[in-house]
Amino acid sequence: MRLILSLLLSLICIGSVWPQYSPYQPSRLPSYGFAARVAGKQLEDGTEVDCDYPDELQFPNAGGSDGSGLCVFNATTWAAQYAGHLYLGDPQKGLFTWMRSRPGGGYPSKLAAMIREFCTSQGITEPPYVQIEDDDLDKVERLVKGNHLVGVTYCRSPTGRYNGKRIAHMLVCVAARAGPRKLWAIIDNNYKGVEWMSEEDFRVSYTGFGGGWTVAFKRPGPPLPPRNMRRFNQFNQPSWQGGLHVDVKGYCWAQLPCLHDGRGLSHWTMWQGAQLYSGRRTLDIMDDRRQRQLRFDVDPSTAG
Amino acid sequence: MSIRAPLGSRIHIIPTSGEPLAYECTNADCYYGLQQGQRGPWRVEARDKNGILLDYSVVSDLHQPIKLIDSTSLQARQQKPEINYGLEVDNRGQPMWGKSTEKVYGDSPLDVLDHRGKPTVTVIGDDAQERMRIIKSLEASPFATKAVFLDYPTGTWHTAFHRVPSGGRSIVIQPAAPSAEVLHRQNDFDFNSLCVALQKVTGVSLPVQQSPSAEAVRNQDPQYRPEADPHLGRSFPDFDVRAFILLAIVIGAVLLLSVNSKSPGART
Repeated sequence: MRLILSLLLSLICIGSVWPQYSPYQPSRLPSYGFAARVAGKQLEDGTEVDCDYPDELQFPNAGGSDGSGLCVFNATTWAAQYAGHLYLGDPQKGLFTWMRSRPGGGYPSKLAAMIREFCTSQGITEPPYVQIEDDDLDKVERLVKGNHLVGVTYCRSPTGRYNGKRIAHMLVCVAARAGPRKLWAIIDNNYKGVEWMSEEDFRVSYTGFGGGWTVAFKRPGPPLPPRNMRRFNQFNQPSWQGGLHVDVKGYCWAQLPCLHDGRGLSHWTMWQGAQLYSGRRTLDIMDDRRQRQLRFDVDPSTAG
Repeated sequence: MSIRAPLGSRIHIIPTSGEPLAYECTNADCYYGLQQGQRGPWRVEARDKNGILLDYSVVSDLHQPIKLIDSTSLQARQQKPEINYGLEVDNRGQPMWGKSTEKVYGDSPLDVLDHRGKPTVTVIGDDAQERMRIIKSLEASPFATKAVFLDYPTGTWHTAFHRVPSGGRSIVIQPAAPSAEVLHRQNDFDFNSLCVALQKVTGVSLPVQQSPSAEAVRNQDPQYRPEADPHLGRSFPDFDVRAFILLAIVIGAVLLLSVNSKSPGART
């Protein structure tokens, strides 16, 4: 009897102590997705941002005349600079600096009014832009993939910035469904570095404060830094009618009898060469009319 | 720390190292003690029964209670953000933009803004009126929907790697991203040459493969030589000086030999 009582007492003691720090029994979770982190513009698996905004143009957020934040106008100024609206997006003379002497806080109709007022006061043409109030991430993706730096709402940091607090903020989105893991990335005007996150993290952060709000200029960002076309000195004999020719400078010219819109090209014309990446052993050309892909063997040992 | 999720949601607590833990949270205030041997920061996330992520937060410790706030409740509607960096809210703490209703301000649908698969024509020059003349002409041409037209003055970061000197002018055609190879470059504003080049470029429209390793980061190619870019506006392939000199030497040598071989006969 004493033995039973002592066992019961010890069980009660253990039971009274255990729940203090673990009220529920833990269980193993299935593997979860991408762990958000702050990194550079390129991840180790080769995933890159879609819009590469220069670091030296990333100026921090500040308050307006009433102390309220200017995150909306900061993100809009960044987006304008990326789109080539040089006056509106000027870090020293642009919309953001102009707003420093005006009350802060932003919402769509106020942003539209402020852009109009700024352009009128500075004597410049109001650039075309769009604002989207929607939770649809596909629209944001189309804009970002189309080389538009967009301002997006943001209410949670998946990497623990802001001490995990719920915030009201706008910043710029620089990658949308990028790479094999379909990641999203933002640059926060209160921090340095690119914050990479999974789609579900971005969705919660983007829509978590009253729904999503996106600001984008219609003009896309700058072209990529130029590169010379790759040169190939020798192609194996093509197995189709038509042909490839390499001129004395090593440029690839293609005579393609049935290409776009059914128009035959009777002269040698330079093929775009967009697919000629280093390391590739084949050159693919799509024959639009016959809906087939033509493949040529390229001798990589002679590639320039 | 609060998370917006209805009661009964699955709460996942994920440390940065060690085994992820899962808890079923049913109370309004959930308190979790720091697990022995595991250190934060901790990711606390709420998911519904279907596994959809409802809300999350990342905290450095778990000594403070995690409050679950039902997003449909009055408490949630009156909850203001803990920090506001510039999104204006009304007196009730509600944001001043719509929810779940699309409002696009502008005169064109988003299709116009989707430039994927289109080559880019970049007009670089200091004279804004001349640039605009080229752009307006292009926008009125049949190429308007087949390419993206951009213009910049010289000296901006946008076209710094195109190597156009101050006061110079250039028009560069590049294929759609991810490729950055120059298809055509002319160092003048000759619109006819540009049209010939655009006809060749857009007439052979190939599907652009979206590569995961797209060249989106703006890395300069140190070996880029503007003078090596092709000029598609001409009706003949690029003139090669070296080949011409070699040909001239060969022809000269042949002529010299023939003259030398004929001259003895001429004397007789």
